[in-house]
Amino acid sequence: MTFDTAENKPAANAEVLSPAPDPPPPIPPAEHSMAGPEPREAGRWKRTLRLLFKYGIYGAFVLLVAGMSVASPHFLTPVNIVNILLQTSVNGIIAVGMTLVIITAGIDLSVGSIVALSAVVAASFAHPGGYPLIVAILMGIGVGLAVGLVNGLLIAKKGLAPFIVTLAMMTAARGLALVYTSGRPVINLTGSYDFIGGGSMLGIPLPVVLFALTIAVGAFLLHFTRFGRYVFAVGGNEMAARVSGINTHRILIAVYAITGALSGLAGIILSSRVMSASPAGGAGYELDAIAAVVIGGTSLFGGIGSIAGTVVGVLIIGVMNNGLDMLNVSSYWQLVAKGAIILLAVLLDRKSAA
Amino acid sequence: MIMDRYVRNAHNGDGRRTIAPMNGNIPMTLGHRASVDYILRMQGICKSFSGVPVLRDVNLDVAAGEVHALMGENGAGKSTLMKILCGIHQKDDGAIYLNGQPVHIRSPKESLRHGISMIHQELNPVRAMTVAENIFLGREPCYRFTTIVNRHRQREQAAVLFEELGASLNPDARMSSLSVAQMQLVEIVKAVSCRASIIIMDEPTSAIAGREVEKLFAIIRNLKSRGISIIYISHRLEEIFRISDTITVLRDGRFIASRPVAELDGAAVVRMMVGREIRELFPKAQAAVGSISLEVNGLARRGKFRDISFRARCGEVLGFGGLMGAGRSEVMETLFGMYRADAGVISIHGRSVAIRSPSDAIRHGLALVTEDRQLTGLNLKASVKANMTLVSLKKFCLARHVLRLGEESRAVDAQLQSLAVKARDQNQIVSTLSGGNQQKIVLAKWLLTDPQIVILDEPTRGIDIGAKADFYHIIRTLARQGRTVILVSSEMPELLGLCDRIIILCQGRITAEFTRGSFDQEEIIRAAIGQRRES
Amino acid sequence: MMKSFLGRSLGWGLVSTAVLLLGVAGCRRNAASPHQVVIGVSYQNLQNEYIINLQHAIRAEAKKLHVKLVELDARGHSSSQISDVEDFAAEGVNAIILNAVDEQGSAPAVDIAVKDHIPIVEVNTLVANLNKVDAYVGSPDVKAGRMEAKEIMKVLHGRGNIVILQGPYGSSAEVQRTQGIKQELATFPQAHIIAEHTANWERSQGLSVMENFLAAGRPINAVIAENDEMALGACEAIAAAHKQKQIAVMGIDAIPDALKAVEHGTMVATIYQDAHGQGSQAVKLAVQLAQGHKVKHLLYIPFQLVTKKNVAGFLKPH
Repeated sequence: MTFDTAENKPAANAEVLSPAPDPPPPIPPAEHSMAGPEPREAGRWKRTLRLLFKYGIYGAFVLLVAGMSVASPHFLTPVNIVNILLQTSVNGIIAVGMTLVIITAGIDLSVGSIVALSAVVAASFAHPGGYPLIVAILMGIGVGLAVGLVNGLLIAKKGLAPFIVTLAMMTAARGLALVYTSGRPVINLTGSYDFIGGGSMLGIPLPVVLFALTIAVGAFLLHFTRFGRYVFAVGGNEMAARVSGINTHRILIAVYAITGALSGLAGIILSSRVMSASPAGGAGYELDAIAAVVIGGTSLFGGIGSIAGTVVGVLIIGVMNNGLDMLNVSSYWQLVAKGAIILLAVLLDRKSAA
Repeated sequence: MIMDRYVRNAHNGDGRRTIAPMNGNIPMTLGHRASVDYILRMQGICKSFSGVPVLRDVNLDVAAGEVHALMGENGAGKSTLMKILCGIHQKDDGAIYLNGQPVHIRSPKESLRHGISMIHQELNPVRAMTVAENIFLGREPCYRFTTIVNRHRQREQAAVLFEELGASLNPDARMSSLSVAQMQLVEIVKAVSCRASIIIMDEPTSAIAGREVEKLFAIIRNLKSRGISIIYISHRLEEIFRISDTITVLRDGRFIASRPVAELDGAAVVRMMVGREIRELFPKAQAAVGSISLEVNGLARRGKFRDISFRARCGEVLGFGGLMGAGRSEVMETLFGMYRADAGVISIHGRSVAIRSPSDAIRHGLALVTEDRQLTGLNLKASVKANMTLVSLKKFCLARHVLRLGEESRAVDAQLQSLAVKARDQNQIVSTLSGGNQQKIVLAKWLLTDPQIVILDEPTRGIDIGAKADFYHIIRTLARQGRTVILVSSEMPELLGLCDRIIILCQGRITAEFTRGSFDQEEIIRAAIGQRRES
Repeated sequence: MMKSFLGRSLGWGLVSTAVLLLGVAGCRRNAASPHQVVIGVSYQNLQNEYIINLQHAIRAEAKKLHVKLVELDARGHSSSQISDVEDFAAEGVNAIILNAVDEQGSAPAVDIAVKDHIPIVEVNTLVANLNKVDAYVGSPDVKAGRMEAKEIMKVLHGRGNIVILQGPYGSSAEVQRTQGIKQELATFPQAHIIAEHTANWERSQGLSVMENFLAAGRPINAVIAENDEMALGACEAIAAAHKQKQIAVMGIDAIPDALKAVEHGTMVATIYQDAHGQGSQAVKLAVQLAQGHKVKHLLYIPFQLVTKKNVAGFLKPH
């Protein structure tokens, strides 16, 4: 931290000097010309950049939004902002759960398959003239929760590696979704099912409301409760956590169950938005969620992370997808750009942490 | 690096370590050894990290075939100086001479070529390879004109090297099957086989004990007789006085003095290291011993220890001595519910209790400061605050779950103050604290649970002497407050100076018990190595 | 510790795999009789609804002709398709029906069959070495693309701004359909392709890509999607932006939801690809080849345009 202030000093001096050229400077002229004030513009630029570095990933996000706004007049419009939030809500809800899992030094590769399984199960209870809407929702979330619980139990009680357990579950849950539907999408859904993905509250689309709620609850859990502290403790040093009297098994089971349930919710939203549920859906969602969490500064080694960072990570990915589409950038180049942004974001974050 | 810097800032801040009464001695000490042939001279070495000086004008002169002890508190600059010698860091200023020739050491490889080898504190061999393979890693003897490793010759050469050192080790043994002491031996043999003329040993005895230390010393004497110089870094004064010829002391990145061992005594060295006298390392006042708080009967765990029975009282400091591996830590960990006992009854305040997990132990008023704070004591990635309140978090919660951050913060500040922890603030990440301060955080974590029985397993290992003194005071204070303190320690002076009673374990059994007043060092050592039958 | 975790889970995995394999092997051998014709079928991906329909047609025809089938799913990987065909060769099937994953990547699978003198019928998709295949049954995707573009141009009177939603890049259907669409549009100088983007055959991706294009504010007159799922996703986005009247949408496959959309007028048209015709013809040809008969090399099953006029006929279950 001494490092930081030492670096900031020259900039502060330059700022004091530049707007006051009239009174004779107390410094000898020779020295003044040597350390002379930079042109205003350059000084401001440098300061802005330094600020961005200081705030790492948040700075990168602001820079990205600013860049997109300049590039397209339609980017920063209410319609498009809602658009971005809608599109990020599914990945965002999963990523909140994934943040908890990764903070415990785990990983959950099964979320994409849980999305598909929950979606087809929920949708199958939403045919016209069937069950009330709440049944479909509870079934979807319940299936996700159940799969998450199995993940958690195997990881905590059997001591299996999270990567392997959830890799197996990723395959198995996908298989179950295909078995359940014989490989065909579930279609012909009742009109009321559209409410989850297409409805709105106070003018805000329901998926965005659910995303916001998930963020609020997730951040509260992680940063303001005993459970959250224990999540960090288990990820930072599981042995030390156990010696400190924490039931580490219960914490691990809980984070995987929460992530499963949230993936179930995401599956319901996804299927409701397109009014059909494909057993092949949600493929690759685990990687989007992991990318968002990592961009957000959560360490894959566990013990470090925040929901706020993850939200920004989700939004960075969402803004990239949306903005590059709007600018009609070739989809081949979009892939390159996305990869570069992920790397850049993580590098910025490292720099600000150093 | 960060730690070094932090400690320095803290010292400058409180200002009490700026007195340097020893500076006047330097010209004299240099003059005294002027006629000696130096194999290594480091002169006027300066080094700073991002503007913070860590070494200021440091000298180190090592004669051929001597054991040269390098001493100083944590953060004094010892390891930075050695890293410069090893080519890991580059010096900012100063000169290095080897056999009178100026040299530039720009990389670890160059350092090795100049005949400098370092045995690190944390050994990191290729565990899946054999002893011989490790020794010749990267320079395996090959069949003529080929690159095929001649395993036979490799094995033979390794065996010869061990024999020359007067040590025995199977060259075909896997590294993963070796003890720390044996791994150290392999490192030493590797250094010798690289034709090292200077071997740096960083805290070589921090993880070995008893007979293994003796073996190490025998090997050091052997190396000495062959003209190899040893730079020996250690905190343990007794060892330094036994093995070394010359002592160089650094403090706060400055060279303080370099003198032959014969001219010094322990008090003088400590004075040089700390820059002040530690008059009362061990507080004398004893507490009034009260009723029995903990009673253990016939505690046993297969393969680890058996038939462990003892009582501890309120206000008492009960010491557990013995060699490494005698089972002391295992007894404490079992007592604390980290492992299941096979037999035995534990009673607390006269009532027998079942302790199946640490949370049971905590509920019954036990606290355990474990032996290895990095492995089981702390979450190094978390803040001072998060670590400190981890066990007692329920106390700082609304409805048992929601944190009351203000209350927590106040409690943490109070602990930081009462334990004199040197931390920037409570959000500082604990990995950036010095060892002594980290240990205080572990202790604070347990004190916040208001424990009746505090078990401390090697609480002062690897922390500097200033922090040690703080710890001793804290231990006595805990006893004075009527708590029971159980102190596991391998340092004799600590046991003798602090404890009301000492129980000695040897190979998983209690072999002796001593009460203050009848402490006898020789008897204690005999009990620890199993030469004394319980009478 | 780590080692034992790994070991344990690997052990689990191995045991369960072995059990599964035994089960599968058992099933396969069950009904084998000495004189029955055995046909190996390698599907590109049984998570795709169209391919599932194709599978149903093949099974139905096989049952009718008393042919035994050995079916394997390449799950979208040409490498596993090649090993599937190697397995067929090793088992000594009498003929192979190949539903290629990838035009280039699946070509070696054909070479394996040719080398082992096993008759091979390619169905639905194309392979690069089509000349080595004994017979091809399919509906050329280039043609489907051209049909799509032609119909849209008819609706737009030969001019307008067009968005293309493409399949996964590099898949044979995507390559061929894009080629067809562009060939046809090139003949209309006043038609402009203002954006093209993959939505990976998925409805949810079609939705978000279309949302983004709509938000960009440029006028769009039509969406040509290379399958119905993506077209239906685009319809959702267009409906949310209340632009159903301005934008014409078209897809391929004639899946039930798309047929309904055509009926309601939210989609202009879709294209029926005859899975039943492809599947049954493929089996017939394979059996004839296995019995040593000569067959026609190329057999095209025509695409059929489905518009509001004729949609009623397709809505009835086949």
